[in-house]
Amino acid sequence: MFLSQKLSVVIIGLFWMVFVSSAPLTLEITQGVVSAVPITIPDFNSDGLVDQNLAQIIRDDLRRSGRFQLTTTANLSDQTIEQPDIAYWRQQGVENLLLGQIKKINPQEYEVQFRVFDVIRVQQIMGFTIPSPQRYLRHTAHRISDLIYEKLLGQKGVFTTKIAYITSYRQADKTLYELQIADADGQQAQSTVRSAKPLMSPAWSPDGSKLAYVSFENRHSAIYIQELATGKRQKITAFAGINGAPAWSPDGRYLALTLSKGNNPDIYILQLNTGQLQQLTRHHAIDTEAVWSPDGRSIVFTSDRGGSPQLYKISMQGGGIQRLTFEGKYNASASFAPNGKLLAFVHQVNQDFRIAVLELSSKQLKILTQGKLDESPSFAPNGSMILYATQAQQNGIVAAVSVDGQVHQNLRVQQGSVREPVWSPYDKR
Amino acid sequence: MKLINVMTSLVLMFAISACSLFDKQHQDDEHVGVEVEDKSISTQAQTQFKPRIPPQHQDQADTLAYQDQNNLTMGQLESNLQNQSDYTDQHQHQNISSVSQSDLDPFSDDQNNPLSDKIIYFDYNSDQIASEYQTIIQYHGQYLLDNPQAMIELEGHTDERGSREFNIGLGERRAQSVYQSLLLQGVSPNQIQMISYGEEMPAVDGHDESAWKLNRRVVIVYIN
Amino acid sequence: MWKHIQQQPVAFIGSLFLHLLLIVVLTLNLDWIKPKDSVLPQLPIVHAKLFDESVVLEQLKQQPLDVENKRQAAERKKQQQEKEELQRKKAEQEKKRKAIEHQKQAQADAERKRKAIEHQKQAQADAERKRKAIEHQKQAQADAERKRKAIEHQKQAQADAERKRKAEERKKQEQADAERKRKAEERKKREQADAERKRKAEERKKREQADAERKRKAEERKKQAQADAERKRKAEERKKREQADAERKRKAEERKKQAQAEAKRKAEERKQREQLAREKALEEQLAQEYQQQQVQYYGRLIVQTINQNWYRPLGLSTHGLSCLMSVRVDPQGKVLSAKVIRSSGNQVFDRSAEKAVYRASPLPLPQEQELYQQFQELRFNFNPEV
Repeated sequence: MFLSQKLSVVIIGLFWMVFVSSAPLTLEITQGVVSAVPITIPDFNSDGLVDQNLAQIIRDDLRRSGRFQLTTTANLSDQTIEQPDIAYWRQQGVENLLLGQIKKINPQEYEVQFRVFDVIRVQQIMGFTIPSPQRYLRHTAHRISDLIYEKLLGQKGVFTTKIAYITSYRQADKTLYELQIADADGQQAQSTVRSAKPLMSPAWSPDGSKLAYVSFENRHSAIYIQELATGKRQKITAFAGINGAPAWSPDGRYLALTLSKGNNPDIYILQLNTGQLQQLTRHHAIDTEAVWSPDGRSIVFTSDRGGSPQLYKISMQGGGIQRLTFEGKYNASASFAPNGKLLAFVHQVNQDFRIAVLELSSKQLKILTQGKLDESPSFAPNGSMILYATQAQQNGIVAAVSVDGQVHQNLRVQQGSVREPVWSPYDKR
Repeated sequence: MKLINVMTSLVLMFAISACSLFDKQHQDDEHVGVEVEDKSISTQAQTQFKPRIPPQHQDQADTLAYQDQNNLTMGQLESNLQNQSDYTDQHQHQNISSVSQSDLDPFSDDQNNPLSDKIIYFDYNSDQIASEYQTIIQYHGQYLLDNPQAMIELEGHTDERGSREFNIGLGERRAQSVYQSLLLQGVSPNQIQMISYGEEMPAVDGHDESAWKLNRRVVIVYIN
Repeated sequence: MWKHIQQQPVAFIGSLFLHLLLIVVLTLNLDWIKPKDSVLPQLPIVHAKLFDESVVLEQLKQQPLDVENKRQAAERKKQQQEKEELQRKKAEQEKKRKAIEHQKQAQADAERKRKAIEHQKQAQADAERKRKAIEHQKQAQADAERKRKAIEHQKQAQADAERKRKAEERKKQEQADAERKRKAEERKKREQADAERKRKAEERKKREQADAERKRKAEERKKQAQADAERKRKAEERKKREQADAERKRKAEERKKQAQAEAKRKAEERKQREQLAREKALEEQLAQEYQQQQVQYYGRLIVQTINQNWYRPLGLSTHGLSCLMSVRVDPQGKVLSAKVIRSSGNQVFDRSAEKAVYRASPLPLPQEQELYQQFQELRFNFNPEV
């Protein structure tokens, strides 16, 4: 893909030693080409049993990640998964090959079988048979993507994860707000909450089974927690003034949130099983947008105590508050990378708001996006991509950027203006 | 002596010219209409207004004169209120539809009614109330003082720039700015509620300053 | 005038005060003089001298005729003559004049006194003596003219004595100076003489030294001449001996030359043999170098091929990763096996290296069969720079 072109300038270096006849010649290889992994995925052999094109779903997944280069080939339906003609594929210049087939076990049950070949080494890299009900076929395709991703890149895939976001749209002179959940590719969107008043700040519980969010129904802001499997919801706080910015602790037992109680916004910690509330910050400035470090030992939040909104870190064991951002006059809305080494946040560049990452050890800041109103960054659970909200054609859309800023993707969501995307944790099922 | 005379006359001339300037400004203001959307759609509490473009910043003379004028109109307002025997009863007041009282109905959309102005606009990232909006707050403050049963909610809003939760904080600051201003007039805190919607409920769609300046606002909403 | 006083009262009062002050000063002035009367007798009187009375009387007769003339003359003199002389004469004149005036008119005293004071002012040096004269007159109304004169004579004598003394002193001084000068000159002369003497002594000394030196050198020359003679003698002896030696040497050299010629001939034979050997070695070396060049060349080609075929997955952090592969190839360069003998610890990285080797197969190998030996087993260290 584009990256292989970018990096195709190869400088050849040679360092070598010749040993006395008995010792073998040793050559130093220091260059190489950094590139997306080439893979060929012909359509699955399904004998017309299913409507869905699983191969296409997998191809889209892998392409969207930016790490794979999908090579197209003529569809060879006569190639069986059991007896592939590897020599033929090699001749075609194929390097990695995925062959799959779908079998019907019973009227509702299917079996998806696939094998991945290393054409160069003439080896099978992996092979699985996954039983799948018809309605899970799509999910099964995402699972195959995850498996390939992990095998070829050594990193867990995020194709079976979900994203939650808020969308708003006009309906008969009214603005309606919805909290939706979709697959990581933006498909299969489902409305979880619908309201005539704004909904805000969805936050996934660490096990992915619940969402906390803010609702302005009844002319009040309140924080709710909703169980996704049952749809059951619970009002958590509804103090006077602001009830906002909920964030789950990594162990799922606490919720950090912003309360103003009619005065000014500070960060509080709510113990979920006891309802015990503890004030964490106490400052006349706006303190909000708490996020937990992955080890749960500290919280990063936004505060304008220094005159402009900047990110600060506070330890849960108590102790000082440390300012993290110094570049630029506006840094807010942080998201922790799963490894705890990076922070993504909204960073103002001149008049534009963009997504930037800060490496906490080196304090190096890198701007990843080029939009005007980019906001709400959210790390993928494998830390490879950052989901964020941006504007396209005067409308809010969801986009993703790789952590190195090299791969950009826009996600398609059916209707309305979309914002505040949050990436779910790994699927625990 | 001469110098003092000259200075005194200068000051007098300045004051006179300032008064005449304000008169013009005030008349212009009265021609700006405030329209209420179809009430069948909006709830009783949910009154939406066509946005009034925030006036440009006025010079010193305007500000000085405006306060004189303001005292005058507040005096007139008080004398008007004295003429109404049953005015303190909010419900009765709502049932009465005489012409003389219509300009004091906070739910009226009559552009001659000073209470029809319910929006205070703000500068970017600011919660300072510009001087030109003090009149609006004073009208409503006086109304609340005269009608202890009347309740309002102050809705704080911001433009779409910046992070959403931070904007909730900023919207609340704006609402509190107006709240404090009303308390200074002697309005009871029990008559005022506050809510910040941040950037979630823009008055105008759009992604430039022309839209943003209309979205940075506090809206005074009567809720009974 | 009244206006002026009105305008400047301070000046008026000031001037008034000044005037008053002047009046007071003038009035007091007379009284100031009196207390000093008692001081005068205490003045020491030294070298008293008697004068002839008749001379004084004669002078007295002449003087009244032209007092004024004399006074003026005295003034003129005063300007020209030495100060002390003038003072003395003037005092005399004044005293005489005042004596006469006293006789004639006592009332005119005041006038004359004032004039005397004026004179004192003009000639600051006289004043004291004039006043003293007046005081003498007042003090001793009954005193004889002679006494006063005697006193004056005494004074004059004093002055004369003083003058004389001073003249003598001056003379003495001059004598002393002359004496000093003389002595200085004498000293100078003596010093010059001394210097001359010294100079001459030194010259003598030098001359003596030179003589001694000359003598010494003469002796040295003598000795040298003797030594030279000895040396000559010895040299001649040596020469004779050398000639004998030379003869011996010449004979030896002839023998040596014959031996050298023989050796040279043999060395050359050896050299030719060595040259042949060297040429043979060089040929072998060249062949080896060629082989090495070939190995290097094909090594480079192989590295290039592997680098081009080594695709590392995008996003894979290779920081600190390296792996060593052992690869066996057939004589055509086809990869027979590729094994990781030292893993990077990262499977994706190891696999990318392994794939690079297979993808690069067949590797470029030299044609020469004998070189294959060096290529049949290869090791690749995959160690990315970035």
